[in-house]
Amino acid sequence: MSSRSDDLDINDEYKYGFHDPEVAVYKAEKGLTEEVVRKMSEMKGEPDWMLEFRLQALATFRAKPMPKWGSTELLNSINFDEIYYYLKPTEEQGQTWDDVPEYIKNTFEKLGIPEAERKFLAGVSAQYESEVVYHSLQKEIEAQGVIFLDMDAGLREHEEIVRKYFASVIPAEDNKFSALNSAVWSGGSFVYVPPGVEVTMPLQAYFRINAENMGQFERTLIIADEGSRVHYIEGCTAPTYVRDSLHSAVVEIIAMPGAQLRYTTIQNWSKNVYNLVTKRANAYENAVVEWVDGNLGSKLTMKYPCVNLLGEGAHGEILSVAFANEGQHQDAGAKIHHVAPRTTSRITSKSISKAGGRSSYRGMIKVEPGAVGAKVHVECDALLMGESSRSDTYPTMEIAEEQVQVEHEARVSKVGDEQLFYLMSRGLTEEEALVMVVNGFIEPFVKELPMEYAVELNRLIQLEMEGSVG
Amino acid sequence: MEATLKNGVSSDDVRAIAEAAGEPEWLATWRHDAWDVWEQTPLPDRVKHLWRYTDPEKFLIDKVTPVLPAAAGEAEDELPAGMQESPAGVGIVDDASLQTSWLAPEWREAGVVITDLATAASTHEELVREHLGRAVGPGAGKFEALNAALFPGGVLVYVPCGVAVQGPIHLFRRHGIDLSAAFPRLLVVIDEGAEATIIDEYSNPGDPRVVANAVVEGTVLPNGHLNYFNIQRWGSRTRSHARQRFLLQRDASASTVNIALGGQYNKTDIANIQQGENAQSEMIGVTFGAGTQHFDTHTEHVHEASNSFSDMDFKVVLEDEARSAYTGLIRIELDAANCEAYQENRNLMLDPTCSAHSIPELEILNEDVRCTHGATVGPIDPDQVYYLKTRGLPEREAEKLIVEGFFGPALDRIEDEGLRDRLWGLIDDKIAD
Repeated sequence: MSSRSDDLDINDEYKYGFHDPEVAVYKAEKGLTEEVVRKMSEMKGEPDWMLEFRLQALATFRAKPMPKWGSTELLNSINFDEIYYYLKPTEEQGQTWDDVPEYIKNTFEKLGIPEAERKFLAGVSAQYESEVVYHSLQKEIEAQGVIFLDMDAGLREHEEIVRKYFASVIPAEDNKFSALNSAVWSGGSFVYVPPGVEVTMPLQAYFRINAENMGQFERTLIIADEGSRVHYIEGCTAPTYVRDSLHSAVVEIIAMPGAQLRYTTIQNWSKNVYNLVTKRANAYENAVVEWVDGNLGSKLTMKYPCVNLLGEGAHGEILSVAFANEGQHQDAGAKIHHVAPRTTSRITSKSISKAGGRSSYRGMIKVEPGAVGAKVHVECDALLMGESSRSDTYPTMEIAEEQVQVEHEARVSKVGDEQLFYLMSRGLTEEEALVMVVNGFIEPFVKELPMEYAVELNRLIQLEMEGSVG
Repeated sequence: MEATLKNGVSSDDVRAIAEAAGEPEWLATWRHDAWDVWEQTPLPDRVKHLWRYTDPEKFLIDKVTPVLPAAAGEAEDELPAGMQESPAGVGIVDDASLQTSWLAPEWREAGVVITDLATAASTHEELVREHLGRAVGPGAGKFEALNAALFPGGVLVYVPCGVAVQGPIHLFRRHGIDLSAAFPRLLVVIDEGAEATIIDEYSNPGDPRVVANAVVEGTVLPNGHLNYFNIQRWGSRTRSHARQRFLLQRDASASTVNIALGGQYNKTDIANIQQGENAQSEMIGVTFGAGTQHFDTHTEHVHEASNSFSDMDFKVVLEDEARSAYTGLIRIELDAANCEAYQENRNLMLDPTCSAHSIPELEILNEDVRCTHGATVGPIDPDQVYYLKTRGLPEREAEKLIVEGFFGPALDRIEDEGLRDRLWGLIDDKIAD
């Protein structure tokens, strides 16, 4: 394929015919207008209620001010008019292999990513687009009655379920970015696991951004019915390249009584992405919801997975790792809302700030009156490396019930000289010793990952640590 | 413009207060500048988390009036009657003015000063000019600006170079005028190598309706040491906004203890700033809320210099429908290497109807650091009550013992035995209520 990008100026008037409706290839214009939302909804053939929902959300998005906390400087630098809000699969690509930065290519090389996969991770391949094109649904899962579709197909084929649960956990007005997602969502996954069904293989979905300035607004809804079990994996450890871009997803989870659901995310967007994500789960009687959340990439991530413990005996767990290297701000955290009696939760957060990177833990524990016997344990560890790296811890605990046990602990330190000395006395170089300490530091996280992810993550940490000595 | 805020005072009142205080022109000008800041500063933004739990409008003074200062009393030769401890010095502020002050002859001769700020602005002009508003200036916040504009007399405690004062300097600040605004202000300067213990006690005889707005500021110069106790016993109809901030220079140390028992609606902001290398700070907080009391406390340890150390221990006990919001920040600045900072917040809830919020925060900008914090919220452990009951203690007595055990590690750090016993007495009284 010749390099199309040479003569493809995307600021131009799309003279390459992307508007042709007969071949169903459509590229929305930059910027967010009611017209864009209507067109998008029409192209998708959505029911009226969804269009209404989108338009309402758009009004909410416009009315809501930008958050006044977190990295306000970076947030305010987002230009919402420079973003494409909807893109259909198309063979035309906005970038070529030559556009991909060296550091990304090197990482592919060192991680041993296959050629074809490299191209799609770099946003060059035509295979992956704004909508979820790729699904690998095992035959036996289908036979169990499990639904695993992209969200658009979910809406078409299971409108009743979607209508019942969509935005029931995260209403559009929850925050500015959930409103934005609600207005322009596209793609994401729709998962339904019937009562008592145990899905043994993790369900995986790859979401990619791969057109320049192409916002990704995926929307995921997972319903684990009574007594079912499922593990869902989003993202991957290899870096995912895009030019300046906004990723603003909404993930809603409903864990019915007795269900067990784990949601694993490894986020490694290239270091120019704004990753502003709202993730929340409702857990009913004796349900267990676990968020396993790794944040390695992006310029700015603001993400606080949440569990609402609504039924007696429900358990929420959030395990997260953030790695902020040069020029990155990982503002990640966790929220647990204890509403029902005898609910329990545990948050473990590990963060590493290196070479001027900044990582922040921002957490919220809320215990409502009547949530007797609630137990909460929060642990935050931060490792600081290199001058002008920064680590923040902002935990909030609002406790309106007496019969509870709430514990919070945090530690911040650099890599111990004794640790390095010991390892180096065993013949390791300083860099090897550092890598080993860091890998040990995030071990509680890595051991919860499927094997191939864990291996890749360890290798990636090694790469991120390169040049950290001397 | 937010200048037309609800309040009953104007810049005329600032002039009247400056005249009544008989202070020099420079201080009057300083007040007027502060008044301008107050007028130009909007009310704190409730979206910002430091004001999330407390309504700033509660501290406006549209329904109460400030008190004009009376002339300060002469320094006494004899220790005022009725003192339980044997202090090194005493200052008694009634309503607005320092009515009574006394210093043991030894310390008077050594050059220790307890006086009102209006007088000190003339007699110790250079010192007051250098330090007034240095730790808490009019720019520190809207209510801090109001205090600077309207404080009536204020108190200066100065300990000269190398003087180590034995025994506490005890300040009583009593405000008994119904429907009035109280503006206690204290400036502490501990000169190089000097040492002092200051007990600063607030109360409202007769339980009047008062809006209190206090500022306590000070500097501990190189090698100096300050022990500062703040005992807040405002009455049940007082709203209190208080700001306390000490600057610690090279090799200086401060140990502050804040005991909050009174007031109906309280917002307190306490900070020690490690400005010089090797500065050491210890901060203890004890809050006991009952009835419908509201306590919103923020503590801050800021490390601006290398090799500095801080330790914070904040304990809260709540009963009935009392509420507490605690936010605490440790900040290690970019140039502050090899610092250690610890922070602990524990909340004990005695009744299902109380609520406790805790936000212990860390902002670390230097990698060469050791820093931890911890927070807990929980009820009295029923196992402990059961154990004590098996030893023959009635339930209420068992609870009292557990509360004492909870506050114990904080209060045991107070070396002065007389003071410690009196504080336990105040806490026991509150438990018994």
